[in-house]
Amino acid sequence: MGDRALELVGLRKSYGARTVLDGIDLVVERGTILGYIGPNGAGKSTTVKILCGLLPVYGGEVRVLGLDPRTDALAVKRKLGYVPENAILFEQLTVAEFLLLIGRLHALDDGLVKRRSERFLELFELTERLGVRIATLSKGMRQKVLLTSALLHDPELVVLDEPLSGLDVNATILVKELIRALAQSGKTVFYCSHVMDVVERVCDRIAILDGGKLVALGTFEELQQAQGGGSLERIFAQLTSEGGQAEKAQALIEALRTT
Amino acid sequence: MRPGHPWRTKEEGQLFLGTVLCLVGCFERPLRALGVDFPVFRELLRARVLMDLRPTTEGASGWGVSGIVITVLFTWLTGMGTGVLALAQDDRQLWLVGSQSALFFLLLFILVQALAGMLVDPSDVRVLAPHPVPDRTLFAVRLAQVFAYLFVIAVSFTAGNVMLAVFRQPVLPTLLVFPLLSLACALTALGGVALLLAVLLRVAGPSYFQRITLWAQIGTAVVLMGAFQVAPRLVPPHVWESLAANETVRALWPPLQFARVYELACGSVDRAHGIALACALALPALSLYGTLQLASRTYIAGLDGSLELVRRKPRTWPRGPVARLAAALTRSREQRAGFEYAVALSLREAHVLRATLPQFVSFQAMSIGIGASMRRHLEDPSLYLSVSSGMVALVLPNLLEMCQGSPTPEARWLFQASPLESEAELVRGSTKGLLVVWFGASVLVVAAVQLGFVGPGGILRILLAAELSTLMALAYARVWSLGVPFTQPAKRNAMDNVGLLLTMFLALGALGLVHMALSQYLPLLVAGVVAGALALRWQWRALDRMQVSKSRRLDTAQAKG
Repeated sequence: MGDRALELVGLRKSYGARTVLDGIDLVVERGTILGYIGPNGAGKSTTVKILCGLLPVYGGEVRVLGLDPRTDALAVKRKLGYVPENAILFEQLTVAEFLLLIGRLHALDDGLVKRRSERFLELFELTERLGVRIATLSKGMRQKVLLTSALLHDPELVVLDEPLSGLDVNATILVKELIRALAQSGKTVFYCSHVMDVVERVCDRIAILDGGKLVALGTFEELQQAQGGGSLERIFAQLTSEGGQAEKAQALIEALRTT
Repeated sequence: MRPGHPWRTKEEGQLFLGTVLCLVGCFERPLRALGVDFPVFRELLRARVLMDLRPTTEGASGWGVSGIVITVLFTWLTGMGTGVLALAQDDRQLWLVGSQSALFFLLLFILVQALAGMLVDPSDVRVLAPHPVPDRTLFAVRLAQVFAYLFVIAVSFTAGNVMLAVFRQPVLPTLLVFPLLSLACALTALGGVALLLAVLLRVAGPSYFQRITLWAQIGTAVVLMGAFQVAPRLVPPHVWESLAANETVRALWPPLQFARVYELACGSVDRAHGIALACALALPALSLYGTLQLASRTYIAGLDGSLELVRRKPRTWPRGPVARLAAALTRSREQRAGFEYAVALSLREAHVLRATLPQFVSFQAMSIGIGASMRRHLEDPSLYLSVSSGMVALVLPNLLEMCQGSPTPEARWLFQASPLESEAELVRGSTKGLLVVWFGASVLVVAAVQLGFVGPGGILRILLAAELSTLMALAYARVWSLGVPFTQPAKRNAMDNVGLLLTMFLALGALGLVHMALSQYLPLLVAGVVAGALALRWQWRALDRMQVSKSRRLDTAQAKG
């Protein structure tokens, strides 16, 4: 367990009669980057919510940094940084007020929060926006604030759900490098995304989820071997779709001609 | 934010925020003893107060402040009204029990109609949930925030009451003890409602918490507004008398407790007064303690739960009565689009349902209650008919306002990207939809209930009451400053609506007078009904000339947001 950042054994979750996760078994070693990908509705966000201690009712066993998120949700949250898919922030607070609030929730010293935040915002080219309300920020700027707030407390595990959403090209490159640097510094990254080429290049291992089940798990090279080569996008499509995307696109064009 | 001081908050030095934080500091030890993470509690409360003080968007008017001012004025006047009892009656008990009962009911009414929503508001959960915020601490923050509003109401009510009572009652107990009793009243009301929510969280679990609390909110509102009028008729008088004489009831029912505590302060020392004091102190403390203990787990998960009231079978395309009404009552495709989407969202958005459904249902219950208790006493049912119909109209501004906001206001891009000929057409269609589906349906239900009470002979009067109420609703809708629905940030400061709701009760009086005047002679009544129908037709057509409020145009919202 010492080298395992995450351990999921037979993880199940249902909403009424609808099964969202159907027996997920997964181990993520410390200091590695796991790409967690799947089509819409595959169960990625539900997995993330369970890992972060946001969903207390589920079946199976989960260990996050050795802790059970069902019973030790607070301890898990102290060690984890989470960037959700949708950048929901307190709109009426300024960036500075929001970051101070998050720092204080993690019991960080105000001086430390300011120093770390200023450095982050400087690198994200957002220093000028420190005193403005979050409501006035663009989507990409909010994403940068969210990334800053998730990393402020120097978490051991970073869960990123589409972190590149809305970022400009320079910020995207920066975040990709940041993900690698986080892993090199011993942190574990759980990375959910639909951007296949980034997952392919950044992640040490890749888990593909479909219909609430893990359909593939391994390094990119292992997945290539198992699926007969090609890009991650092709492998993904092979495992999670019936194919024929070109035909479907043509059918969509024909649908436009319907009168 | 001051230029050059990005880390310093503008409101930091202001009296209000400073007072709140100072008061909170006084309660550090008891809060820690209750298991609250105090530093986190203080920070979250500070953030909540800052957000409540600021308008939803930059440049918008400070509605929260004006809502508070209206509430303070209204409750101050209500306090004065009950304070008159102290001057006019020699019976001190009547003043004490009357005043504390009025305050207790007022606080419960406001809690159930508006502020309970703040205890189960999910809007900030997605921001806070990934961070180490204990469930109990977050509930404590919500309780403190709601208590701040109750405190303002209790203080203004007490000020109005005491400024009269002090001329007739013992000065020191009136100035020192009566305000403390009002404070205990506020804590007891809050403790009762919060404990109910905490019990529901434990019983129903987090997945059903949002749904069950909405039903509980509606149920409690119905009981508050309707049952207390019907109960005297259903329960025999001797049962009430034995209840009123029962020592346990007298010790446990807050207004009676408080009256005894006041007597104790005036020098009446005996066992019963001592028990009343112990109960007055213990009840709020125990209920709040129990609440925090019960809310120690899964509160945050409960806030994040779904508020879907009814699980419907998935349908394909809208074909029901709403779609048919939309087709019949709108005059352009844009109006029809506005009609259908506004109605659909208004029936599903949590903030709309929480703010309006308890009001609609409880006012209906009140109308039934008034009908049941009034019809045998009054030959002229004008007041009953006009008040019960008019109360439905009172909810309308709240509904229209709530439907302006959305948790995802950025969805306005949909309209901005569409080749709309006029935003106003969307506003007109949506206003028609909300009027017809929410208000129209409610007025029909009320009219059916009235028919049951008054009988077919009163059909013209019922019609007149419905017409007057509808005219009032249409007038509200036209003067309200409206933009395209669900494109503004959702309002979170419930005090706006409390002030509005309380003030609008005054409008009912005027409605009753007009109805009464027209009902005196049959020719006048017939003429009134015909004139009402013509006025309705004119007002309905005037909806097609409604304009979008300047401050709420889509491009303005974009600039702000």
